[in-house]
Amino acid sequence: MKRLWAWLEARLGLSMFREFGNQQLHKPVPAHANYAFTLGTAALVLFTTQVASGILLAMNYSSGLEKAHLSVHRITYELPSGWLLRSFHAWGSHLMVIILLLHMARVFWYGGYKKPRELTWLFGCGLLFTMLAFGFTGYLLPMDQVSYWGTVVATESFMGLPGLGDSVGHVIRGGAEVTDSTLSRFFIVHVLLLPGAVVGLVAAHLYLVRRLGISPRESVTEEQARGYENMMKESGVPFAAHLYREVTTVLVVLALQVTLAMLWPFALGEPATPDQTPKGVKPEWYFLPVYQLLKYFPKLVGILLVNAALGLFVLLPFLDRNPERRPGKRTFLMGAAGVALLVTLALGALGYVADRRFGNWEFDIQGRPHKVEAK
Amino acid sequence: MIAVLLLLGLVQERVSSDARCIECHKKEAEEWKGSVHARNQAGCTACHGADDVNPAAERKHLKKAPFRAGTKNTSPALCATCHGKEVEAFKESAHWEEDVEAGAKWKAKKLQGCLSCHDPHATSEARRRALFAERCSHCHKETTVQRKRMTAYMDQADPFERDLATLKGFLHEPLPGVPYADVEGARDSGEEKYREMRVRQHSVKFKEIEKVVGPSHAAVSAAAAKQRGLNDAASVKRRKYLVIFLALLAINLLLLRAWCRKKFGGEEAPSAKPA
Repeated sequence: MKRLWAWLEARLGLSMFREFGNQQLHKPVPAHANYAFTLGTAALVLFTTQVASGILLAMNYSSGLEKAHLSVHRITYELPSGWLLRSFHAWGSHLMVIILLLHMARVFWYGGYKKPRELTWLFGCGLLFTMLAFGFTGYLLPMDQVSYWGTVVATESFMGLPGLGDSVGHVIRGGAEVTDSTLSRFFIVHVLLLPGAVVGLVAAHLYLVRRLGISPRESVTEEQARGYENMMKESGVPFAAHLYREVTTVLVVLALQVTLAMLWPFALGEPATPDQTPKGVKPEWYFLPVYQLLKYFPKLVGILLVNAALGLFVLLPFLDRNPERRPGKRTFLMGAAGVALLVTLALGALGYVADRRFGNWEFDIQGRPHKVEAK
Repeated sequence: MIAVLLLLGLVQERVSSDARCIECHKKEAEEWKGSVHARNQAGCTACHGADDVNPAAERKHLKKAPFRAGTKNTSPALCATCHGKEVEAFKESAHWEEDVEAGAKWKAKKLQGCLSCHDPHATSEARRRALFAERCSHCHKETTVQRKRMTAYMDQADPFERDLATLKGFLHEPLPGVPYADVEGARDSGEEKYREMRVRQHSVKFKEIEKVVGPSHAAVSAAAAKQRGLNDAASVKRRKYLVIFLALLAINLLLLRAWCRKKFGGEEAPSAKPA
């Protein structure tokens, strides 16, 4: 083994990588880093498993209006363990969004987006939106009734807007309607463009995380006065001492993904029928708050509201000038975030119950309940 | 003359769309929503026809016909336009009265033809047991032969319906990765017999229906049981594999954690700082 290492070392200079790895392992992290600080690694590992399972799925997938459903049917019902692979990938996409949202919530809670880590936050936002785009494009690929009509409804949000609305809708759909052009477009974006974008964004995000380090609990002013390096020398612990937490979270997430895929595998619905709208068509759960909000306002106002909210979220490091990082000293922002979270959850819940019936209660498309007499 | 006609034209509107009816008949519209008629796009004018309306007048509908087409006494004839087979079966029953217009027997017994059992606006898939309990028992008391026959029929029809729904569910959304048990034939013939049963029950010749339904029910039950067996076996197998996988993962996790702590330190070894 030693001789093999020496042989490779002479040709590839592998010790450089080992040295780099050691440096990273011993780079100090703040002592308060707990399990909440492992979600970024979990998301990264989840992305690699998504790529691996996605490649295997793509080997058996055909993009085309009728072929798509047939190929996913083959994967789900005929290919050995194809159902497991597809469910693993589908559950992975849901877990990815959950983990990223929790990760961002952690960064927000600990004030990790503040100076000098504004760009880390921006790249993180870019990653979140890219992952949502993954979900949006991947949702159509099975081409069953739910996925087809879900995409019709979601893309319709862009149409009819004054100005560029129709053009944007046409670009997304590849035409006026959701057709095989849309499917080809979504497939290419899903398997080629978005993975490339994620690799670039992850590289930039990780570079910044390693360069600037994980934010301390102290205020921005104190960090600037004492210097991050000095603070870490005094109270930091090496990343290696935190590694077992990272390993634990990654394995727990993997276990959860496999368990969900095994116990609740994704079935495949009827093939997409463009002239037959099924009842209660909805986009994925993470788009429900936006989808529901657009029902209460004229289209232009709704879109402006959504964009304003997203703008506030993305530009948070530049808008929040309070140097404090401890949540107790940022009560106004914490309160505002709490209200925003409650509104988002309420909109999501309304979106979930809208156009559905639960017992004797029927909810209209705006989520208003109506009592229905038992028949 | 032209001015009068124009004026009439202004105050009158043709009720040719259901949206116009809903403005006044809110209760009926609410009942109609979610009904079988609503799902099949049979709106107000499908039964009631269209009429000239003067919204300002006290008696808003100007003509009785054709608006009054959908009334209680004429219901079988009207319903037969779509539900011909059911009305034909109904005619074979002891409940039928030839003289529909007079409807003497119905009036005497406070019956209303099709509407005796079906609500015209809130037409749900009539639930036999609820229907029998609520409406038939007005005339057929607990101890009568008719009630016993009804109960015997329901005891066959309900499980048949349930088993068929189970079988259809298995095929409509099969458990991913589980092979089909070649049960489509049983489902198709079961559905055909089920539709026939639904039509024939209007004749209330229950014994005759039971003969038709019995063999099909047995085939449907067997097919459902076969598919359920395959699904259950697959679920048990999956749980077993999952437990093994999770156990291996847990062992790996413990070993990795121990290795990380030993090599790099952790909560128990906070002194493990770079040399």
